[in-house]
Amino acid sequence: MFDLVQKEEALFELPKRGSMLTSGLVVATEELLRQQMDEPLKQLKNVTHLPGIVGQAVAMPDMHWGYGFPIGGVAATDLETGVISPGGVGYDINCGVRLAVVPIPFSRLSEKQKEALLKRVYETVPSGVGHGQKNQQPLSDADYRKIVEQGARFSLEAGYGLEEDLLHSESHGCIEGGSLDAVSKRAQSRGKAQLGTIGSGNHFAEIGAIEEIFDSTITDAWGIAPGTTYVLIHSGSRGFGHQICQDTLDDFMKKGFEKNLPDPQLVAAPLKSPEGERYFQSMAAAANFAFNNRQRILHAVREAFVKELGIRPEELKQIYDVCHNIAKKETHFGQQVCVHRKGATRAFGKGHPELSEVYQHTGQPVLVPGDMGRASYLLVGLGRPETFASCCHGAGRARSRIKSKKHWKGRDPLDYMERQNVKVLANSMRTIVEEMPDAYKDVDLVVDAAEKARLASRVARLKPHLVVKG
Amino acid sequence: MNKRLFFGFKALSPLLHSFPEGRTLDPASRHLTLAFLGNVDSEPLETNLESHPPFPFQVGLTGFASHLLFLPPKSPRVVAWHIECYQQAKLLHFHEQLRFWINQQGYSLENRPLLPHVTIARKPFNKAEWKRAFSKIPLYFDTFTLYESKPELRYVPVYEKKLLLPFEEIEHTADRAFLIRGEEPKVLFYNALTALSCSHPELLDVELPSRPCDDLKEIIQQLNTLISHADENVGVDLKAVSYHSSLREKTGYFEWEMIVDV
Repeated sequence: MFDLVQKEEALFELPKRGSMLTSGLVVATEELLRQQMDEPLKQLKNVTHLPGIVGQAVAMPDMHWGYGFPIGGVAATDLETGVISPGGVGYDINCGVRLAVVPIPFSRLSEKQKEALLKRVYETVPSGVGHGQKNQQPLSDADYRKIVEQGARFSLEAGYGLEEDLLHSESHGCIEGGSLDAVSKRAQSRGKAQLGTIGSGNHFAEIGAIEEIFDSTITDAWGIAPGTTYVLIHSGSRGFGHQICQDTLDDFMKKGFEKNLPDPQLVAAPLKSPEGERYFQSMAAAANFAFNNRQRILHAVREAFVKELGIRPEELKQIYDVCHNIAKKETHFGQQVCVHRKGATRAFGKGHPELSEVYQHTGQPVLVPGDMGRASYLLVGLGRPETFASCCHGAGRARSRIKSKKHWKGRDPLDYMERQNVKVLANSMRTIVEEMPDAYKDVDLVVDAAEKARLASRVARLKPHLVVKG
Repeated sequence: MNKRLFFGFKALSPLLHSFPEGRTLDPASRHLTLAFLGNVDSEPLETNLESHPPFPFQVGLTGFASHLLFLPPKSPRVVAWHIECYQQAKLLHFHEQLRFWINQQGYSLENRPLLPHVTIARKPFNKAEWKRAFSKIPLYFDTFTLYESKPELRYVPVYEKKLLLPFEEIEHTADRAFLIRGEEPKVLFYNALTALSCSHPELLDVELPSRPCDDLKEIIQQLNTLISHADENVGVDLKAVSYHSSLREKTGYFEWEMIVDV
């Protein structure tokens, strides 16, 4: 169906044909391309029609069928003449991942300590639906205004986290240009009790061991030793971000911005239009909510480590916090562009001026969660220009939720996970069944493709052992 | 041959729920009774079943259990769900037509208005416990059935006529997808709501929009309004129904592929 042309190892071109404004670039191995690629490639082709698109529309090796854009899709548009598309960001604005390490070998924890730690994290960090922060006041307008304007610093100043956390975060935990005036009251109301909560679906907090080191020069620079305990958090902007996306789609559709696009889900407004500017302001607001969300979740995990293991908060050192559903204003090929990364991670290489000092020398950390059984990866960005310095964001789903349910019907998923040396706590058995490791592609294959295409290179492999799911 | 017969619609709900102690009915036997004939000579009826009145709908009906009924009120012997059917007028119309037809076949029926309900348990039961445990439950009714009532709470279908399923969950790699069917936009909305409520019954606690939907955009917007309110009230793991696909016109009804971002 798609006449992909191989350009390099793990790099294919989707040639420009017909009404396409540019070609597509697909990062994948042949093995990955054999897995359910028709829908995401069709979506990639659609993305090439976005007005003002710069360079190529790019698909990451974990790409799968998404809303408008494929998940694992990257596209840059010219700031002056281009458009911004909520479908290129996703419903969960600034869904992202945060990694921290603890300077104790995971193998040194007793089974009792592990059980207690898991239970404590489960109790301290609200997960699942309807599990807001019990002892927290709902966010006021003034809180929201600070969140939107200051990003994660709002939580830091309220006592959640450490100053270094901001240095070790993409954009230092704040996307500039957010405005509460661009956000509906309904979005505020939907998110008011959700700050510091994981949510459900594929979101999680996990603890495990740094299983394998691939580049010790980098792990030395980042302060990571083999066998070290790690904490990985995956969450986003919760109902606040979902509502902002929905409000924008309703508005864009009402105004007919989907006309002339091959798929209404790509609906996009010119960046320089009032509608485009308003979306950017509200999207940045949601992105800053998400940074605060992960900031507070990490704080709660730190508290769990204090209570169960006597480990001080400052000993849980944040390695990085990355966004993987966002549109950002960046400079590429000497041009100011708006880079949409939908299920894709920024992967700046060494020397990029936006990076803090430690990462200037190495390139930025790229966090690639796999699944809750096999592994996740820590990579270092190489800043490949054609991808707008991007990389994959995870393993990518391989099996639908109903297939997962059918597959695990009558079997005990928790027992299976125990046999993989992983303990799982979740609010809903449905979530566990839907999120079993075999619902995902093999993250090893995905990372292999990213490395072969020189988007990022392997630094360490992470093995999960204690998982809290929504 | 004499049989104890009644007409009804099979009542289905994929939602799992547990009940207080009681002689609960097998979920496969749950039904919404339309007309109770009693112990009658079944032959004249059975030979003429295909002539039953036409349905004013092609697609199965949807609704929800709005509260519990303890019947009969003075000395209750059964616990039942009271059913709010989204197409109540069409259900009542069919009920009237069916009664008329049954009379034409030479059977007499008690002259009682239809009380849409689904029996779920028989006595002994603790009324207070059942009331405490109740929450709204979505249901759909896709099979018109003539049942024979047997001992031990067994209801054996003698005759069945299937309607189109109002919704079906279908494959989607990342999100959740459903095929929704309905004769008009407002029915599509209700059937989509029922599909979502089967995994998220908290949607049933949100006030329904006052204005019926006219087109697909409005269906999506109204469903998303319900999702927003439910997320705000109690939290739901649904982000939104996406602007996806168009209504496919079939013979006498529409079909829509609904994708829900989760």
